[in-house]
Amino acid sequence: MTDAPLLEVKDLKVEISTKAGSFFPVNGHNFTVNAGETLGIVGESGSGKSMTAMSLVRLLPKHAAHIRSGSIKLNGRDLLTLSDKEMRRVRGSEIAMILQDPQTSLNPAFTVGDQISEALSLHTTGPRRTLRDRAIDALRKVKVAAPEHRVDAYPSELSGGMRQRVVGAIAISCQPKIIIADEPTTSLDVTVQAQYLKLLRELQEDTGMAILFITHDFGIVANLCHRIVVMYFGRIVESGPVDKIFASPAHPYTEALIAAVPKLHGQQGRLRTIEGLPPSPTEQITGCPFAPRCEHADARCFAELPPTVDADSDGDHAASCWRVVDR
Amino acid sequence: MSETPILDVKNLSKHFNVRTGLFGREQRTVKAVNDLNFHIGEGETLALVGESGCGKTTTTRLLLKLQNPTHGTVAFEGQDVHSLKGEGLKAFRSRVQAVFQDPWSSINPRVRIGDFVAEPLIVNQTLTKGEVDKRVHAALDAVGLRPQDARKYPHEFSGGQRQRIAIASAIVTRPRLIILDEPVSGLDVSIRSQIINLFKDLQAEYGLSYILVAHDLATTRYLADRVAVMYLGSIVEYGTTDEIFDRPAHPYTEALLSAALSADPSAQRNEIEMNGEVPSPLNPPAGCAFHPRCHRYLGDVCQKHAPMLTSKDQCRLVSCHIYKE
Repeated sequence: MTDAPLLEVKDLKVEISTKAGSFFPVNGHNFTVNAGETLGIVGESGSGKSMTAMSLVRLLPKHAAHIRSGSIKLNGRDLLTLSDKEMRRVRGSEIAMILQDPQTSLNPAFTVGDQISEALSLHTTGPRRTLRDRAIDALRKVKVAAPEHRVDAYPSELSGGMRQRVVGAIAISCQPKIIIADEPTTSLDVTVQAQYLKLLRELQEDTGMAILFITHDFGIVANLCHRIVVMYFGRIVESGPVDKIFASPAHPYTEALIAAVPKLHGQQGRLRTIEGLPPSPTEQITGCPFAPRCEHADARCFAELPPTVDADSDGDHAASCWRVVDR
Repeated sequence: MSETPILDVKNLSKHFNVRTGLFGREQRTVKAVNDLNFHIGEGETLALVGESGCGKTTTTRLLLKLQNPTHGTVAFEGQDVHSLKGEGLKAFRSRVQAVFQDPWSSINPRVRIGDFVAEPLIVNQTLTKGEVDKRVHAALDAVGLRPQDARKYPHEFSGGQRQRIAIASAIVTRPRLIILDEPVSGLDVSIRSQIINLFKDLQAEYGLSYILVAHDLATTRYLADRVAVMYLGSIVEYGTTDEIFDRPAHPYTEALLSAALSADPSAQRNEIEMNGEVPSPLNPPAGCAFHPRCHRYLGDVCQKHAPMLTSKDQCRLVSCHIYKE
């Protein structure tokens, strides 16, 4: 990959203020995404995955959430310094999003073609006629059969997998450099999911776009992602190449999560569990947030937050755990 | 497992009449479930797998007597479920229970946990207040909740704990069979393994039988003893879990399993692509319903004749023409 990353997030902190107190769902994130690469963001519900995605496109709820520090550099330009108008130009044309539920991200009252053209018309100029052709083109790219006919279909006339392809077509229509996909296959059957992931891989090979894939499914991570970051309680606890993390997870949380997933093949004993529950977001924690559930935790883990350090000498695998610091 | 099955399903079918076309002038039949045969022994888990719309949910509704079949019978402990009335039905209701996917919508938010768990006991059995309390506490204890939790309201619990509450209310009547409809898909990974282990523990302790409906094939593999693979309302392959996962015989099973993602980056997936999507059950293909998507399509025979479910070897039934000879 190239030296300068496509997307570089540094020390990103997002604060949410509620009546019950304020907390940081995104707490000091550092990560990069290179062109043509798929980065997986893995974590359980409430770990701050979706807040991370929303802060990258600056679509956080304005009254409640604020970006407190950090920078989000896309091709060297800090998105946090852009005006709202400039940011609107970035969304769709440079960063696109695919959300979980195609049912709610498509408008039932407009045809598929209208919805793809809407995105195109915001970012390009040209006569209506070419817009329609480009919408058909986009549908063809996401392998929708008979795109010339489907372009006039309403979302209700399509199956769930087809609808998610249409959402994909909207996302790629303006040739973004990076697509943020927030659990796009959760509502799909395994067979349709496999087809969709294959499509994403093919689109990536053709266009060289980067993908930021948010998921809790280790099956998807293992099959799609090049690198992953694991989140817990608003923090990145481990990051590295996918084979390294599966082969030798450095953080006890990552290790336990991987061991907790039933395997498709081979012998398996009793499933590993992680006792207890994740802390509530408003909880004040001084030490490592995973310490209460960690089987290796000692007094220092409860008292002091561990720094993020390299887990091996290659410099591409890092974790935030005292056991790694001591190694 | 035991010789007399707990549940014996014979030729079970459910057809729905639907009106389509302009002003609903055209009447058609959807064969949601078509001629199912299977049985479950004591302490055994049978999984139903297949894509959405294959009839898994309709099957569970028929087994729970929430719907009546068009043809066929469901015998529970030797009695025909769909002819049960009065006391017999009440007894059936406390012997067969269900746990559903979403613990947020299956629990009444305005009822204390203790009362929620006690409800199936009060409705279906005549017990004194003291006995009810004892059973409720035992059930809460069995799922890993504390007795004082009985006084709390559902909003005080997380998703995983709510699923435990739903399980407590399912086991409180001491059932023999529990139908698990996507019981862990709504839960986080770390919580999911706790609940899966809990199902295994309860089964070992009480000799429970399960019917599992889950789209996650790894969970199915982990929990099930036998698997029935369904496609458009019919069973296309039926056998022991290991046989089916390690040596799938029906082309549909092969394709379905090849779509499952293993949580292991080094695993080699031999990808079989199915053509298109599941056809509409309103208008199923002639012959073998799977033939338009099949990668082992043989030609005319598949288009013209529906294959029968026949035994391929001792532990497996398959409905496919490639095993004719």
